[in-house]
Parts: sequence; C-alpha cells; structure tokens
Amino acid sequence: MIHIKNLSISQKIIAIVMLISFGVLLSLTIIYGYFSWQTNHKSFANSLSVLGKTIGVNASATLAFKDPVTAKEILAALQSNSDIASAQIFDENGEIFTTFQSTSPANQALLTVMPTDRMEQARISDTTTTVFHPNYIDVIQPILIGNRPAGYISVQGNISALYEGFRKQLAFMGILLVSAIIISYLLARRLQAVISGPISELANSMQSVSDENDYALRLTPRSNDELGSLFNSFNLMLEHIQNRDEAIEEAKNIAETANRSKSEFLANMSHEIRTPMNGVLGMAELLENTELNDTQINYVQTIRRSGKTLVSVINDILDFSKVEAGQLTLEEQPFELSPLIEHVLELFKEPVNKKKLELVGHIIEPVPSHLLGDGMRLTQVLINLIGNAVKFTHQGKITLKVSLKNESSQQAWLCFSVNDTGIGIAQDKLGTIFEAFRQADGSTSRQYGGTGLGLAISSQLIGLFGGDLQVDSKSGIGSTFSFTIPFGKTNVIQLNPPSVEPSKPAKETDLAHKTPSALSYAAFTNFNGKILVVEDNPVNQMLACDMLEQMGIETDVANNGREAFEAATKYRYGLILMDIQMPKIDGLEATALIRAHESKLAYNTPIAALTANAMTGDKEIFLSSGMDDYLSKPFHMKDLSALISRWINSEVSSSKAVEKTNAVGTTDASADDITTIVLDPATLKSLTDHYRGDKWPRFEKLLAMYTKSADQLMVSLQQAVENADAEAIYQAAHSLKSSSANLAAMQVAKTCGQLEAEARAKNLTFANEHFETLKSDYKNACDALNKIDHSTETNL
Amino acid sequence: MNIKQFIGLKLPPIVRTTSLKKLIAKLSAFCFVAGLSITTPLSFSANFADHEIKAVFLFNFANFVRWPDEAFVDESSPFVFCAGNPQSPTIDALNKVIQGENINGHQLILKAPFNPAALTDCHILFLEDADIAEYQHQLPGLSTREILTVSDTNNFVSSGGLIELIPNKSRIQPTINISQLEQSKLKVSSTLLRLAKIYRVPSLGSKP
Repeated sequence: MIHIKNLSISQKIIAIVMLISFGVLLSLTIIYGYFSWQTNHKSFANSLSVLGKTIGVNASATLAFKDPVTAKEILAALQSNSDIASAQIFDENGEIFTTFQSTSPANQALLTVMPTDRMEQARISDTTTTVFHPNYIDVIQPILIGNRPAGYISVQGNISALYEGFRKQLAFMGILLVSAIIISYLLARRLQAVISGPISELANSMQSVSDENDYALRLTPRSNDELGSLFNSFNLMLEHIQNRDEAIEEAKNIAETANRSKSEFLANMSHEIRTPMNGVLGMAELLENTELNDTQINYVQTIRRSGKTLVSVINDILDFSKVEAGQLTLEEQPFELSPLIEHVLELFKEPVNKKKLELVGHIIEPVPSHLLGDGMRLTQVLINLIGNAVKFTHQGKITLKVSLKNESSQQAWLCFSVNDTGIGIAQDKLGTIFEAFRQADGSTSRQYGGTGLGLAISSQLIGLFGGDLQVDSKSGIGSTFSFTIPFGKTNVIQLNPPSVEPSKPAKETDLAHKTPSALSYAAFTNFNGKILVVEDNPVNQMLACDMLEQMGIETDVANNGREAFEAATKYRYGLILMDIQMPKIDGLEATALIRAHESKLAYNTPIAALTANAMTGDKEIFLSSGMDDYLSKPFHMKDLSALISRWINSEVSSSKAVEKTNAVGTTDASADDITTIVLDPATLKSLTDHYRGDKWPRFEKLLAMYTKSADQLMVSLQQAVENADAEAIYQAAHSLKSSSANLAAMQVAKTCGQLEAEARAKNLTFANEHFETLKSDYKNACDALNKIDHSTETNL
Repeated sequence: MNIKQFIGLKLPPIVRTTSLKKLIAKLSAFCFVAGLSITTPLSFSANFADHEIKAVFLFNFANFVRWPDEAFVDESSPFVFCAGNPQSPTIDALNKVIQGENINGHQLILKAPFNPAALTDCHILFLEDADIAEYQHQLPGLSTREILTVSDTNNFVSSGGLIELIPNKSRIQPTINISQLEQSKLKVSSTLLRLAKIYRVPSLGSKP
C-alpha cells in the first residue's frame, strides 16, 4: 500500500477531496436510503391502514347485519390494488367473517408463504397495529360501529414492489454517487493546482537556490493567501541571506586584510624589535668587557640573559604565526635518518650531562636509512620534544625510539617516541597541552619557563607531515610523546656512501661531493654580449667574474636584487647569473621584477640561479619562478662553461676546448696534512690552476677579499650567536659557507652549514659551541690558505 | 352465549398481549365460557333464534340510521324503542340487548307497550303481527316523520312501512322502502342500503 506520506501534495489534495466527498456522499446516500426506506414503509403501511379503514367502514354494516356475502364483495374491491396480497375481516369475537386473496400472479408466490390463520393478530388490535414481515406488511385495525368495535380488518400488503422501487432508487443513488465522485475528482484535479502549483514552484526555486547558490533569485507571489506570504517570506529570507553573504564577504575581506596586516606587523615587529635588541645586546657585551664592579657585571649579565630570552620568544612566536598562517610548507629532500638522530642527541649532550640524566636513542631495525622528506623540520620537532623532556626530567632517563610502523613501495611510516621519567602531566591537562601558550598550569610556567609554544609548534608540524602527536603520561612517573609520519623512500643514488657509521658524525657534506674529473671549459671568444653576475658576497662575485673573464666574457656586477633589476632594465644581457639568497630583494623577487619588465618587451633574458641550497625541490621552485637554469655552488669552470654554452651557444662562432692538465703538484694532498684536513684538494687545485702565472696577484686579491669579508661575517656571526638571532646567524653562516666553499675551506663551510641548518630550524641550543668550532676552523683555514699562498708562489 | 355476547357488547376484555400462548389460553377460556363451538362464519344464524337476530338488527338500525336533531328534546334525552307486546320474545330480547347502551349520548330505552298518544316520542317503532292491524293505516303518515317503522310482517313495506325483516333463504335480510324513506327525515347509511333489499313504491318511486 502506498503510504500517504510519500504522495505528492497534489495527490494528497486530490486524495483528501475525494475522501471527504466520498465520505459525505456515501453517508448522505446511506441516510437518505434509510429514511427513504422507512418513509416508503410507513407510507405503504399508512396507505394499507387507510385502505383497511375505508373497507372497514364500508363493511361495518355487513358485520352489524351479519352479511358475509356483501362483506366478501366489498373486500373483492381490493383486487384492483396489486399491492394487496390478501385481507380478512373478523367479527367481534375474532372469528373469520370473510377473506380476500389476490389472484394477481405477483401475489401468488407470497400467499403460499403467508400463514393463513390471522385470528391472533386480529384479537390483539383494538387500535391500528402494523406488523412488518420480511415480504409483506400486515395492518390490523378495528371496525367501529359507534365507539364499539364490531369486528376487525386485516390487510396484507406485498412489499416486493416497494423493494423494487427501493432498488431502483438505490441504483439511481449509486449512479449519482459515482458521477459526483468523478466530478469531484475532475474538479479536485483542476483546483489542486491552485495550492500545489505555487508549492511546487517554491520547491523548485529552493532546489535551484541550493543547487546554484543563486540568492539573487526572487519569486512573484500570485495570491494573497498563506502561500503568497510564504513566497514573500522566502523572498525575504533570500534577501537576508544575500545581505548576510555580502556582510560575511565583507567581514571576510576585512579579516583577511587584518590577518595580512597582522602578518606584516609581526614580520616588521620582529625586525623592529630585533634590530634594537641587537644594539642592546651588543652594547651590553661591550659594557661587560669594560671595567665593572661585581654588581655591575651581574646587572649586565642579567640584561644579556633577558635579551636572549626575549629574542628566542620572538622567534618562537614568529614560527608559530607562520604555521598558523599556513605559510610553512614542508620540503622534500633526501636525508639520512641515523646522522639526523645522532645530531639531535649530540645537541643535548651538555644539558643532559649537567643534570646527570641519561639520553638514549634507538633505531629499531628495519628502518630505511635513506628517506625523502623535511629532515630539518623533523629535527626541529625532535629537538622540541627532547628539549621538553630534558627540561621536565630531574633524574632518570630519556629515550628516543624510531621504528617502522608500515611500509609501501613509495612510502615508509616511521613511529617516533620520546619517553622520559620526568614530572609527567596530570590526566585532566593532557587535552590542552598542545594548545598554544598553554602549559600544564601556570605554576609550571613559573617554575620551568618557556613560552608554551614548543609543543604547539611540534604538534602542528607533525600535522603538516600527516601525523598526529600523541601523549601518554602519568603524573610523577613520566611522559611519552609519540607520532607516526610518512616519509618518501628514496631511490636516488647517493653521492655519499649510504652507510655512515652511527657513532661517527657525518664528516662530509653535500658541498664536498663534487670531484671534478677534468677541468675543461669552453672559451666564448666571439661572444659580444655581457653577463650580469648578481651576488652579494664579494668573494663569490670576484670568483665568478674571474672565471667569466677567463672565458673571454665581459661581466657586470650587481650586489643585490635591486641593482640587478636596474641593470637589467638598462642593458640587455646575454645571461644573468642570479644568487638566490640576498638581502633586500632576493633572487626570486628580482627575477619576477625582470620578467615583469620584459613582458612589455620582445625578449627574454636567460636567468640562471646560483645557490648553495642544493635541495631536491629547489630546482622546480626556481624554474617555476621564471628562471631558466640552475647551478649549485660551489661550481667549477667546467660547470659554469657548460651552463653558459647552453644559453649563448648560438652566438659563439668557434669554441675552443681548453684542456687543463693536471700540472700543479704543489698542493698535493699528501704533502701537507694540515692543508688536506682544512682545505679541499680538488677545489684548491681548480683555483690554483685558474690563477696560474700572471694571474696570481688576482688570487692574492681574492684571498684578501675573502679574509676581509669572512672577518666581517665572523664578527656579525658572533653577535648574532650572542643575540640568539637565528635569522642573522642563518644569513651570515650562509654567506660565509658559500664563499669558504669557493675557496676550498671545506671545514669552515661545513661548520657554517651546521650553524645555518640549526638557525633555520630555530634551534640555537648549540650555536655557541658550533661558533667556537667555527672560530678555530676559520683560523686553521686562514693559516692553510696563507701557506698555500707561499708554497704556490714558490712552485709556480 | 347470551344475546349480549352475540352482538359483542359484553365480550371478555380484548387480549392485548402478543404472546401466542396467552392468546390461545384466553381463546380457549372464552370458547369454554361460551360453551359453543364456533366453526363457520355463516353458522351464526343457526345458533341464534330469529327473534334474537331481529332484536340485534333493531338495535343496529339505531347505529346505521341518522335521526334529525329535532327528533330529540335535548342531548341527554333518551333514544326510545317503542313496541306493543312486552311479552313477545323479540321485544324481550331487545330489552336485554339495549340494557345500559347508548347512542351518541342518548340512553336507549324501550317503551312496551307504548302509549299511542305519545307516538312522537318514539324513534324506532317495532310492529309485530298483533299490532299491525291497528297501525297499518297510519304507516305512511308515520314514515314521513322522524319515526323508523320496522316490522317482521309480510307486505309491511308495501303497506307504507320503512323496514321489513323477513327471512330470505337461510338468513334474515332487511328490506327497505326507499320511496317512503326519501319522504321521511331519516337518513339510512349507504352501507346498510348496500346489504338491504330495496323496495321502491311504483307510484311514489316516480316522484322526485
């Protein structure tokens, strides 16, 4: 059976109308039929009674004068009425006086079933008595002479004709009922549209509004009833929604603007706070080195400590803002797990020793050693978690465990867990510790310090990785922080040997891997154009210019992105070599400016990126930013020449391959141990080859320039380390790394790389130690370079 | 069965119950009291003597004939039957029949022998063989007034009487002198006329 709920409105209306009209008509028919039946019966009984009375009056004399013959004649008159089946006259004693029986065939059948003896009925009736039988009606009444009953007359009427008439009436009523229902159905079908039409229209409009989000739609009400007001309400609602959408859009724009302003404000603030803070800290340091009494020294040290804390808090907040704003994206680069873990553990050597704790790292085999992912951010998370554990543990052990959770052909899911035996976290605080600026409670902050951002940042970083930071802790017993994140499995052939002994920190960096097999390059003698070298580091500038000059190419130099853009708008260069990391306008921005400028002109200057950030995804970023090629630092003549030939080849009429012989033996690696350790033999060889003979003074100049710029960088690095200014450390270390690598000072470059990486991960815990290492490395490098200077001079 | 029962004046109370058993019981009781077996409708004349039938007929004439209002002094004045010989069986029976009866509020009384001087007081004058000679000459005159003259003698209507009660075949059928009746102030019910034998005086019948 179809449920009424599932019918459409129009079907419901039709159904209701039909039901009502059918119900009303049917009950009317039944009531009418019943009363009609009753009335017919009564009127028939009445007519029988009247007839009986008439006959009775006529027959009264026959009773009085005992004349049954005449009585029979009188009764015989009933024959003319076909409805009368029979009649009897009884005398006053109830004895049959005379009888009548109809001879019509219609009554014959009835007469056979009618009882013949009616005496008992006669005797009971001194007034009119009507007895209804199934087939006939018997009316018995007295015949009065004066007031005295002289006898009784009983008349039996055949009601078959009544039935027949009633049947006809019923059939007529039935036909009437059916036609009325058909008419009401047709009417209902036509008239339901008055109600269901607008409703369907409304429903369709709502559907289209929700499908197309077109809140500008309006309906025209067609009537002044509830449906009309429904239409008006619908229109009003749409208007409200439209207005609200506009308001929301506006609010959203305002909020976005405000958010942008906030980001800009934070960025500015960091700069604006850090610059004077650097001044404060620098001055405090200078002050500390003057003659002061103990109290003053104490005050100055407090100033420096507080300043450092402030700077680190600002760094934390900046980092957090960046994550919140979604500006932080993870990089995808190959890294090795074991050295990363060891590096992290080594960072905590000193505080762990100081607190007499035990710090253990376990890599539970099998774990893929070479992974693809953001090792720097992983390091940051681990440093945060272990730093936290160290901070809140007073005795016992901290364990870092790495295990393989799951593996596919492309990815490996690694589970990291940091377990400590520290103060733990109360059960009811577990839910909130990952929220920003929250620690277990206020007293914790007071006792242990910290911004409370570490866990929040870690949690969000892990979220970016696609994992979830979990914590399990018991107050007073310890805590376990764990997370499982996926890494790509690298199939890239490593230039470093893949297996590094876990106990030994990696001695080689990506900066040291290029071992040139042949120092061959092309000479671009017929190239009349110029190449623009964009480089902020004077050493790198000079080196690049010297190399290009040797190839017979004229060069211009730009110290930063702005100068590069200005130069590029004034002159059409054959190629631009663009450093990426520069103050003010960096390489990417400068490229964008140049490309924007060129879009109005009919040419496209090739731009090649020069960077020490030799990461996997970088090349794609450079190319998508409008650059055409890419060369990682430090580079050799051969690499540079190959790059140039790719872009200005067509304009070279003849290129001369110059094969440099491996002629110089003065810097033989085995000859001088110190040199070998601090300077990279291959790079050194390339340099000395390049600056042979009459070019030697230029090499001296280069060295002097390096020393000068490196000294400056060392000073700013020291200041940055003391100020705990990660950004400044990063800038200075990066710059020093790249120029040192170019001058074969590999140990310096390596230590700078470490500092750079730590600064990038905002972890300055060991910046001081590394800077100390760097100082000695730098001193060694300078000594070694001076030595070469001498030995080279004698040998050439 | 006495004469009263015969005309239904003193019947046992009419059974109003619909119960068949009670009805049958009452009926049996009635039949027992009557001491008669009533079988056919036409058998009654055989069970009653002619004088009794004549008495009932006389009584019934009071019901089927209408007298003018001036026939009564007032509404409570009696309806008077007049007869000659009180010892005659018919008169005796009549006396019993009308005992305690009334018609339209007029008490029925019998004057027998009646006072001829007060003949105008009579409503029905029943004349037997013995009386007929004395009143025969007065009959046409009486009949034009408000007196219904009835007799069980032959040729009564032809002599100017109004109703004659003569046995015809197995029953007594009244004969009505319609010519004389038309001249009187009496109205005879058509139902009575229908079952009566009509006598029309040839000479008078032609009169309007």
